[in-house]
Amino acid sequence: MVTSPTPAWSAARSGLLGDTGAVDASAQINQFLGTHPNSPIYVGNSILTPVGGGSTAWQYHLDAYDIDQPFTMSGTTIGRVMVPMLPVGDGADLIVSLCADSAGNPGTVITQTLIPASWIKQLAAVEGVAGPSSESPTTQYTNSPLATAQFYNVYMGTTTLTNWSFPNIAPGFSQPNGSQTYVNNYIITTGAINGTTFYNNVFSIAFDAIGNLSQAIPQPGMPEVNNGNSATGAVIDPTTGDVTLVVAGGRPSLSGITANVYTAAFDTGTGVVSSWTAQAALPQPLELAGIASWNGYVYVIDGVNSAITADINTVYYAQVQNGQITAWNTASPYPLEIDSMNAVAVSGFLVVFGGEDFAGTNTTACYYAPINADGSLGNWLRGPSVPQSLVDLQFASPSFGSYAIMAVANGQMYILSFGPNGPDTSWQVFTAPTGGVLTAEADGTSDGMWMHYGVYYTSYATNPMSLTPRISVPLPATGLTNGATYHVLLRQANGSESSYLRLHDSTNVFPGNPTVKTRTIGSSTWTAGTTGHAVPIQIYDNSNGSATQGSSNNQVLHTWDDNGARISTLVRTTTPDQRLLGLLEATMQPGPVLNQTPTFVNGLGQWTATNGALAQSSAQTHGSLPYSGLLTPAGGNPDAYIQSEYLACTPGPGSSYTVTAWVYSPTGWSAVFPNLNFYDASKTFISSGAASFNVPAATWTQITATYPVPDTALYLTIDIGESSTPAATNLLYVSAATVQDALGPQLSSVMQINYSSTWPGSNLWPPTGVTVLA
Amino acid sequence: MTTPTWLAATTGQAAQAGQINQFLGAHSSALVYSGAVVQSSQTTVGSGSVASNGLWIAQQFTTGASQTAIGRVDIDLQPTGVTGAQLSPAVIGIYANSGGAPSGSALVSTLVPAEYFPMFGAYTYVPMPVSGLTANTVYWLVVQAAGNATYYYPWIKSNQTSGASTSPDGVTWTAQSYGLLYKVYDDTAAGSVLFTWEDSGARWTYTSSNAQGTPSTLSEYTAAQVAGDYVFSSRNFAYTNGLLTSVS
Repeated sequence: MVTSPTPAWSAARSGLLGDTGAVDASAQINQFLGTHPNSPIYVGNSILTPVGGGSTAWQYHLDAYDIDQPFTMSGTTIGRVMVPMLPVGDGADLIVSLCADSAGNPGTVITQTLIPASWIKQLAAVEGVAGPSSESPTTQYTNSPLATAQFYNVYMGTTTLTNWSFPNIAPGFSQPNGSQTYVNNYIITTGAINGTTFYNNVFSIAFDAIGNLSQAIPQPGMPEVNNGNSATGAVIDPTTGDVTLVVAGGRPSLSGITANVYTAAFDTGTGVVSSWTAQAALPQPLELAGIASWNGYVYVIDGVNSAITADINTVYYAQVQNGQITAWNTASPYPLEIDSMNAVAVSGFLVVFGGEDFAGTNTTACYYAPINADGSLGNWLRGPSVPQSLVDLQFASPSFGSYAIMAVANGQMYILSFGPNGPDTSWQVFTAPTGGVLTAEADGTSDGMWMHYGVYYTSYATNPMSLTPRISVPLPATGLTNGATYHVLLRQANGSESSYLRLHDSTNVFPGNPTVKTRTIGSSTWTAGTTGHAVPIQIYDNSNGSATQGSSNNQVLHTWDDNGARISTLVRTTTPDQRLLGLLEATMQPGPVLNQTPTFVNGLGQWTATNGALAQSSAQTHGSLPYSGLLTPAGGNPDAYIQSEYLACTPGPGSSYTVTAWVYSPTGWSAVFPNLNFYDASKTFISSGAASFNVPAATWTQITATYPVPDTALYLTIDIGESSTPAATNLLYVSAATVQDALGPQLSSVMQINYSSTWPGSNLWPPTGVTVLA
Repeated sequence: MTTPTWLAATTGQAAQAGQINQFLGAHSSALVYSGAVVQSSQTTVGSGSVASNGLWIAQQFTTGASQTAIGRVDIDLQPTGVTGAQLSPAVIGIYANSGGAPSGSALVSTLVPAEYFPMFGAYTYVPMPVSGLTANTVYWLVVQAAGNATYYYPWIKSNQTSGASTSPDGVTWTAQSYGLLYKVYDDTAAGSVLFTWEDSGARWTYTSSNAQGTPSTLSEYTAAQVAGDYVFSSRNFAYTNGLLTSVS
């Protein structure tokens, strides 16, 4: 017998029956001897981007429900899907199916991928502490080295609006429209402008982790007035933890701008600002500059020049020691000459985005530079452009525990994940509450949870923010129909009461507002969720040729062999070195045998015969098994077969089972079948999966077939026998008759590649070793 | 213990430790390059062909003036079967000459599955690495008997009136009044790697390249543990923007 072509990938599984003295699955050797059909999956371009309005974090749990998210297709090709996914406890394997539409429900499976729990855990920046799904999860950081910025984001929760008022700065004027910063749980405002009148007022405003904003408390005023065009920041001493407020540059009068710099100590326990003192002035006067701090250094970026005739691209930095600035240094100039940009330091990088040039033309550009230990900067690198241009009104950009940066403008919230190995490849967008003039974040009640504040003059909005792991699932499909409805079906393959998967809920997520559907485990009925609610998945095509500066969609992110039988994920940095950080692999195994009596060694078990008789026999045996099951047809019937007990099965779509048996026909028979009968919840017959085999005479022959499960089926039986009216002399011996879930578990591994330093350090290459994480 | 010879598995046969261990070490191999030079050939088509059904077929050739090795041969076989179930592999070898006929055991031989031939037009490329030959000396290119009345390997004739020989058993040969189409190359190492040939032909691969120099086709053959059995795959590589987009 010849074997050709290369068998599909299949990991070996101990304890599988059959043929203990023979190679029942020669394919498991031969799979290594040829190349497999493969789809490289690139980072690609987003074709379905969630723009949620925020809702309940981790609302859906897959231990109790299957989740269906309909969507309207854009284009004709899918490469991968990103799913916000929180592993709780040990998590669980995840089955992701792309389905056609069937009267609003998921229909025929177009393509399907199984993701092992080990991948979900190792790529997650945060996980849920093991506990029942009836309780909201408590999250904790994983510190996983492969949880790079591409695999998490920060999601916005439901908006709560609260009335609030700002104290009078002057009679009839109570707008905190100066410059501002925030540190720990305080917002600090400096200065204000009312028409042509400038003010030197300073206020501190306390807030907590659960959405309470206190009244603004007046603090010692600035030595000079400030119309809000100065740069205000807070610098934390890395050794003592002391906080120093810094106000640099700005416009103290209508006619001129200043190079003056002032500092004041800030008590994070009481919210009290000490008196202001003058420090070393900037090398030149400037206003509308960006400001950020990191590791005890403060950075002042770009701004308008002293003559108020142009923007500049200088970057000044200084170390703050004991609240003092004695000298300014010049760092690598910023690539653009702009003002009113956002600036923030995160994960060892200084990031600048948005802003406008002196003529008032806005930019969506984003650049970042590594911060060296001495405060100097490395080269500026182009990051992913912001989806819309942003002109900062002297907001301080939150940095969510150094996991992401954020800005709010134009009625939207923009978030870019950032990590020590670089930024994500694109920004996430949420529909934000009306923008405030002050913004801040507070550490939440558990790891990876924050409370964002958007403060206006008469009210403030709060949004719980959740650090959200996002698993990238290779799901290649071509030939789809632009504008048609498809479904992403999410199902957990295993797990337990304390180990499972959770998903976000959000509102107004996708064009057309397709509503999520759920199906209770053990049921075959889909139920629509609340109108307008959806799971914020993201879908990418498989394009690889983008010329967009700052994008990296020409990187291979996954491989997908033999229709998902073997998959891999490559984790790389997004810094210029693009070095490989990790490799995740998974190969499908056959599922466990589900029926109780696959052989007849210990009797007939629950097998029964129809149109014939079943007996244990030693006349013909297979492999080293001492007995087989002998079916003797009664004769005169269309068929004769043996049937197993009822077995619970998972309803479709996306569910299928494989029946396998070795059979021996002394006379030979041209119509031997291994069928599966499917039944509904009341065990009423629905339909059969059927196949027919020509079995040669006196030759043990393996017959096998895989059948999809009907959407309403909850039980199945194995049926093995002969059709085409077998006579009583057409005996059939049966051995090793099994049924297995076609989507078996996976042999998986997660590997980290070790280096002696991180970018832009020296001696990055070659790697120093490999650590197996799972 | 050395790495076991490549050996694919056959369903129903007992597993061997070597079938695991074959992946755990390097194998002896020869590389055949695209830049090898033709040293002997007959390429003018004649009339008709000779069928391998029950018949060994041989064509004599003379090594080049300084040729002592062969890298590959091109042979104009046009099998009537395209699967292993229809037609067993063609066994093609190089033999020494004695008395105007192939003599002794093959100096080198390669099993070529029926599925491989349709990838080519007239001439099928076959790896045949052998050294230690004598320059300017007659050797024989031999195709063993294979097939039946329906499925067989017809070797296309050249316009020559001699050069071919046939045998019912590979021992007793009869010279014929025609020649057969062939090309014999030396082992010049230039250009891209066309073939790998490991463990004396137990496993071999063929790679064709596109105009950009990247692989366009990869074929792999591995002999299995029952005579005549094998594993064979042939994959095509597609690219977009110079990047691999599918292997099919």
